[in-house]
Amino acid sequence: MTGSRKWLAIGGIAAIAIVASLMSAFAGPPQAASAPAASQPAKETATQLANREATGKAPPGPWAYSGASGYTNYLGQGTGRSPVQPIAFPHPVHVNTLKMNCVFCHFAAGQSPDPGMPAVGTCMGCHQLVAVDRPEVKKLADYHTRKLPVPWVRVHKLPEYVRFPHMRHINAGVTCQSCHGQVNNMPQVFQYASLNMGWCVSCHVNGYSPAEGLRAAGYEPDSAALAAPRKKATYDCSHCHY
Amino acid sequence: MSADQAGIGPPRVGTPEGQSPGRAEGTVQRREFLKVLGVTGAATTLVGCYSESIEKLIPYVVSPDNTVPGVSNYYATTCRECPAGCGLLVETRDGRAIKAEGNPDHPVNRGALCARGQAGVQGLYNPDRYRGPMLREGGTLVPTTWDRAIQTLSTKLAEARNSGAAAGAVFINQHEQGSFPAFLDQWLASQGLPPHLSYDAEAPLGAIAANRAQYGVAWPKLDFQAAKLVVSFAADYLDGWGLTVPQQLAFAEARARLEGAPRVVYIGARRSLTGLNSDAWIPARPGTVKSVADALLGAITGRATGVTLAQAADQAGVSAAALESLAAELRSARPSLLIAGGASERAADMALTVAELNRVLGNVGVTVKPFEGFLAYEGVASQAAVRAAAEQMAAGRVALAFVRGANPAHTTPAPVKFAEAFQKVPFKVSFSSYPDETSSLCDLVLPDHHGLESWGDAEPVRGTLGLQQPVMDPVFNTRATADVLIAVAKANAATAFRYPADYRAWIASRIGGNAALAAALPTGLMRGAALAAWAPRPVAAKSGGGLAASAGEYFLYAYHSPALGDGRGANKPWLQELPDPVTKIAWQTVIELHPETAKKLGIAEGDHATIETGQGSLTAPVYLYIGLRPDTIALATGRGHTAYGRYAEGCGANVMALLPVAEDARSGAQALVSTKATIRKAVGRSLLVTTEGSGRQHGRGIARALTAEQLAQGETHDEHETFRGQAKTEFLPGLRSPVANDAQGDLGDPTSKDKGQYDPAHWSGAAKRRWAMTIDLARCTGCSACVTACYAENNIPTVGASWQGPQFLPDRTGLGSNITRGREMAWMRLERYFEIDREPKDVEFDPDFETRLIPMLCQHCGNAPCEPVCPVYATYHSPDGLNVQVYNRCVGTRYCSNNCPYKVRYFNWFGYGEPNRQQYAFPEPLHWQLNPDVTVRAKGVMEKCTFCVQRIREAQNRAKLENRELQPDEFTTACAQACPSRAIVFGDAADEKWSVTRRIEDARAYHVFEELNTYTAVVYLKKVNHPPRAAAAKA
Repeated sequence: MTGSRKWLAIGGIAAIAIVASLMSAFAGPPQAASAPAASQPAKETATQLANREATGKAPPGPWAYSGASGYTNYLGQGTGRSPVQPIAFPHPVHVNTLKMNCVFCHFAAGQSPDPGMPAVGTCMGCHQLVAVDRPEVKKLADYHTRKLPVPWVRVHKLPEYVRFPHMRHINAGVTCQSCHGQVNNMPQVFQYASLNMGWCVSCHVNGYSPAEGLRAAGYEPDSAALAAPRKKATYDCSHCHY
Repeated sequence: MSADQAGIGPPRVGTPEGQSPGRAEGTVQRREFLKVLGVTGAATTLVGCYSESIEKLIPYVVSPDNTVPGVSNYYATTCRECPAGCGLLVETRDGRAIKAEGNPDHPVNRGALCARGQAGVQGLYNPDRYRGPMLREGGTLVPTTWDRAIQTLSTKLAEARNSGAAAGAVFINQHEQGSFPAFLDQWLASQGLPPHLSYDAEAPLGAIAANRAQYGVAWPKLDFQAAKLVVSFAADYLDGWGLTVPQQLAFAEARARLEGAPRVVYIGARRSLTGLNSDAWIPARPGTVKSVADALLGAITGRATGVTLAQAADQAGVSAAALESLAAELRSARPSLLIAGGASERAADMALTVAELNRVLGNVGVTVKPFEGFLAYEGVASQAAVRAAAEQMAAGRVALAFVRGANPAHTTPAPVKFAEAFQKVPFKVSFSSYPDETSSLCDLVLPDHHGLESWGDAEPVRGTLGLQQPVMDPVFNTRATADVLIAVAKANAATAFRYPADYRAWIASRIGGNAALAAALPTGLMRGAALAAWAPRPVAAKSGGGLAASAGEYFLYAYHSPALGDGRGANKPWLQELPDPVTKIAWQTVIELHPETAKKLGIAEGDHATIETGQGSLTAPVYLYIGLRPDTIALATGRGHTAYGRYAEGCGANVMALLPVAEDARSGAQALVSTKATIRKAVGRSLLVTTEGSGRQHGRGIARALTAEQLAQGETHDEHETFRGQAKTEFLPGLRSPVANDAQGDLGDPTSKDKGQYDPAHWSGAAKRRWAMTIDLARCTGCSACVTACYAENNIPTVGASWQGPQFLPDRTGLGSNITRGREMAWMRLERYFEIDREPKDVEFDPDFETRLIPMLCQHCGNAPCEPVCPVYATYHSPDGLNVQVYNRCVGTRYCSNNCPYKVRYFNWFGYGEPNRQQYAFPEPLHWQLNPDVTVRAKGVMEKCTFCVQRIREAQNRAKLENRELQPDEFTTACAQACPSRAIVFGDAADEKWSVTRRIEDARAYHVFEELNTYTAVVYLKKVNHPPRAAAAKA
């Protein structure tokens, strides 16, 4: 290659690089947030602001066990993502006001890798009588009448090559809020933690503190929880990847 | 002096003259070029590799009882893949059946399950199943509604009754045991139709007829364990003849007695898998096994049976000495077990002779137990009856025909011309689930539920009722045939009162009501009896003229394929992909010839050859098999479908096209060994779709054996043992690994004290367990049930279908192309080695050769050659002894597979697991069968046996949930669970309470390729041979 063509080569490769970036940035399924750049959306939506404010007194993360960064990538996945659901189910009403426990609806969390979603029948158990004139409850009743399931939009998703057993974590005493944030305060559920592998492994290696778990849930830990040692767990690959 | 000037270092880019060290004007040095590339390359950000789309979470509308999402439910039912009626526990997840396993409490299979049983789920989710009722309109079958279909059926039945044609109707049902045949006959009688024909193309009718005549039952119990000598007269009891699973269970238990095991002899023209598992093979000419039986009877009793041993030896083409020594063994080894099979026209007579031999030798009640027999074959009709029905159809005397499950258009010999005769029937109804050669000719299709979606019962042994229940909601818009029949009966006031609402209620009422049914369903067993069907009327058999009289130079020996049977397994890709236990051929029909014959005819392996008989001709590639008489050509049934779904069509050739109608006079059985044939080389050749690398071990000591004498004298080591004297108790599989020990240490420093998780005292307890497996070659019969069980459990794709080759193949005849390239995916394979001193193609006929069968899977080496070479650390040794493959890290270098001496790593060359790719192995709804606990691998990912790590973790999780320790032998791998020989034992070798620990320390234990220092976690136990006492030196 001669010297004069050196700049032609650099320019050509740079042009290819720019075109590739633009093409891949605009690729993928269309989503609500239309920003093509690979960083945080410029403006917080009203919901996200409400969520952030509603998170309450607990200091924001990262906790000792959320060691990795969390960010919302341009596809709208990751921490902070808060999709609109087909029915605007308000966790604060059901959990804070009505004192329903997480496992009342997510019944399998203590027995199965999958926490389970409540069946439409479970909701209708109360809502055939309770608050039937609210528009969202009417939507629910409509699904029930048509014998259709409510197509909830999934918020927390791990890739398919990961096996996450909820019951091991519940039975080890990890509070739901440690990983899911204070869902009881979220009018619309958002993803609180990054859920990436580094975040999981750092808690396994550093240990789960029952006191911090209680604080994440919005409770003050008692002396037993404060004195309890950190619970470490295996970090062997074949326990989660198989 | 710089590196450049010294002439070392990388070559320069673009220096115009020689090795001049100076920088010429205008040239670009390499370093500069790379800088340029690096800077502009960094500007190229690769964004958007991530393509996962947003998902939905779909809840139930009404939460079902007893179902926890993510936790499997197991339902007890009965397998219907063959008449044996083994008990199943079907694992279902979220309302979908994902795996069939054996029911440990069932008297027939006691927890084991053969390959056919495992493949039942692929019949359930077969993409080519009828998805609803069909009616022929304008020449083609079009979908219709159930109401219309049942209405049409009722109308046709009424017409038949009114016109008086009802008495000539024909109903051919796939033979099954239980109450349904009797229920069907009752219904037929109420409609004015004659009783049905319970047809099974594979049923060993010769043996059944003799059993009925001699003992009054169709199938006595064959107690291998009580015998000191087992002689099979062409009965392939390990290959699909009779009830394979209980026969194999008993056979393996008997052989597991090692020095005290019975000696096994096989008499027959082709050394089937049963023959390969036998200690001696007497290669009797086809059709002469009866003479041998007669001669033996004469020799032992002194009666004049018409043939002496010498004459029989002459007729059979075997040495007289062999028969003499067999007679001597029979006299001395008592009790013995003589089993009569045979597929010639004299099979029933031969079976009677053998039954008499059993009686004379005192075996009845000792090894042949008529009163503990199986009821699988009660009520089975003869194949002559089906042929006679076809003749009636051809003569126009049948106005109404029904078929359910059976496929006579494929399984009857060509001269029967079943399809033509069937088409003469004015109205034909099929209840079959699959569009096959017979049902695709029908005018009305009322598809039955699959066995896994049906209610029913079976009486596998007398006094025990095995229940059959649906394990999930029906996949398609099908209906149980019994329910359809009840609906038709209910439409008519005269018959309506006889039936309850549906078949389930009918069964419940027979066994004591709904409460009794509900109480029995968890185990699937209860005391009771099935309704007895009417005994079939005998039909005059049609002789074929005799084997000797037919034209041709070679005997044609057709036999039932162990996996595909009479052809019913051909639409299940697992069974097509399962290499035949003897020939190791998949997805292909081959003509088996002895190498001597092939040499004489100038045919090399893979060359096409054409066989011609009086009935037809068939062209296929040739396979050289040393276990065949040189004057015989062998062909398996099962392939050559013209209409049975995408996996069966266009694959192989149908051997029934060559056979004449030749029926056994006594039993009405269609003889498979009934004609001679000519063979000549044809144009062309094909690659054999085989998984066999070499037919011999070449002295590598992969599958080792010793004789019973050596074992008795404690001489368990042989020349392959390089570590003689090393105490086996010192060795815990995998623990010696230098790689594993310091994997967590300071950058792999072997002197590091920090062993991390690999330290048994580490707080995680990860290294407390050491998973290991033993495989006992004295028990393994090579049936390959383990292979299919592994496919079922681990989402292994099948790769042999014609569309799974590379996309650019223009004619898409890539049938088996992946396998011919050596790209098969089976994590576990059965290797079959002949102990001969030269290549099979150079062998001269000698019946005296030993065969060793060894399952080969990832050995989970403690010092694994595959682990250090992975550039991305996708494979590593876990603290509990597993060689782990992390799929998401794998980039597809394939160095690990390159380094593996056992070649047990398999690469996804195509996107077998990706739905949008052409080579997708799970067309809808086959993907419903996939195990949700196991990742489905994408293109470019390496995979291999994981010791069913998902089962290990599930068991550990369950123990933790229940706040207890893992119990010894609490769970096992899929292969160990399925094995009817109980050859595989899996468990924690670091804990002496698990059974695997004892077996690792067995005197016969060895590791394959021990000399490579791989410290495998899979330990094999040597096979034990039983040569005749006189020939002990030859072992």
